[in-house]
Amino acid sequence: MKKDVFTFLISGKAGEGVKKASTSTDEITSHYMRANAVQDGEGLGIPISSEAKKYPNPDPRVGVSAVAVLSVAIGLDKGGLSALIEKEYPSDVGNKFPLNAGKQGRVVLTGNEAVVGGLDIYIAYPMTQSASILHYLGTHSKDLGIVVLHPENEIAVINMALGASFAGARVMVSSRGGGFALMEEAFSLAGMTETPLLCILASRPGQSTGVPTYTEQEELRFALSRGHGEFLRIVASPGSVEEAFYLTVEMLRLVWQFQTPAILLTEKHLSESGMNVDTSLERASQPEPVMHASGEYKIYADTDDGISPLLFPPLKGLIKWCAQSTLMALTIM
Amino acid sequence: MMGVMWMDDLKTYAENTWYPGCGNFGIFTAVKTAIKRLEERGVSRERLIMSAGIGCHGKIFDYLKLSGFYSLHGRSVATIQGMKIANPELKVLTFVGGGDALGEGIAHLIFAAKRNADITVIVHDNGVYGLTTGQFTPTRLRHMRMLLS
Repeated sequence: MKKDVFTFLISGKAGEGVKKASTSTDEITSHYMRANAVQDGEGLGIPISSEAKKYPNPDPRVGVSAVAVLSVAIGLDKGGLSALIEKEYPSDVGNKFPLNAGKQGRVVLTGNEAVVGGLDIYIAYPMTQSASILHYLGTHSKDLGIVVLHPENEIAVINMALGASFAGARVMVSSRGGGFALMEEAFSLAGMTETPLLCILASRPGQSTGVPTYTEQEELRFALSRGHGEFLRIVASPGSVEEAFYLTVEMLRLVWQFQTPAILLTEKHLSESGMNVDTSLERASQPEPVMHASGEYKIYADTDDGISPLLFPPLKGLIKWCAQSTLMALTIM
Repeated sequence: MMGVMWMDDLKTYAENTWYPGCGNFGIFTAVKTAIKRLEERGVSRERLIMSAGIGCHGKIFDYLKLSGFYSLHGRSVATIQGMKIANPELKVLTFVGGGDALGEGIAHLIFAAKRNADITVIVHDNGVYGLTTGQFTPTRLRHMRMLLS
């Protein structure tokens, strides 16, 4: 059986691996080698790299030359290859899409840049789909007046967020499936202590570490059942970048109103796509939590609507947010 | 009576379930004394915020009359750093145990030190996991017999 030198990917999807060429009954293997290392009878050595260096811009030439060689191997002629390249890469795409000027200036935001409204503190550990929130906020931290923190691991992230929320700050954390799995115990603590906390869950495919370079909307079941023990949480997901902006503000308002953790589900396409969005601040509202007015403060006070008033230190009197249900409602003075 | 009375306003109504003679009482008394001293110097106890981990030491959260957030096993060092960031005027302190902060949560301890975080961590180090009846901690010396050594 004659052995040819090339193996190449034929219209495969990610994960299917390399398929062998179907045009030949010969065994085909893949080698990356210098042209002069090819032995007689084993294949045809074509000195692409050394030839390309004789021309300006050698790097893209190497790629195109390799494609040209491969297309000969599968029976495509020069005309056919040219037509293919023109179809994929129209030369004057910049002039072919005239854009009309709009009526007003609007911002261009990616999903990750949109999910930041109304915060005091943002804490995160970088994980691909949500790392760009960290970068964006880290860069603009002073302009936006948001404290941005990158601690040692996801568990520190969420525990710090709970401490900060206890002290009265509006906090958001974000991660992706695996990072969220690390945060589960503290998420349950947020439910127990009725701590307002907003979590952005940016999805990507796969269990375990998953695939950072693709998108998948798969974490709904996880979000709904997250955290051991039974407690309520709010779960929502935006359908567009604009929706992401308003939904984040809304979620922050809801977590402070209901004193429960919430999860905002996003995914890679949304997180990383830049769109024009209409961001009118009039449509966004600040959280208005039910604050304790007077008298004895009981953190788990039984009220008609089920929401106990909030109070933050420092103040005269005692506020104890407890992880254990055996000791609740310590009264003051 | 006056000598006993002045410390009682730092105790909650919760019944103390530490064994008589437990070392935790020593820390408890020392902390109450320290709080009183701080108040004499102008640090009001409203600004003193506590946390605790999980363990026999953690029960100090129920006994000490300071506002606070009862954290998870090993995570209280992270929790109080979050409090400090949200409101730097607070003075934050936590009580941790051997298994709590020297085992489970050692990363938080190291990074708090790295950040020079303005926090106080009091380690109840007696070499055992008291609440779970006697396993050895990271600091237990080799020659000491334990429940599971």
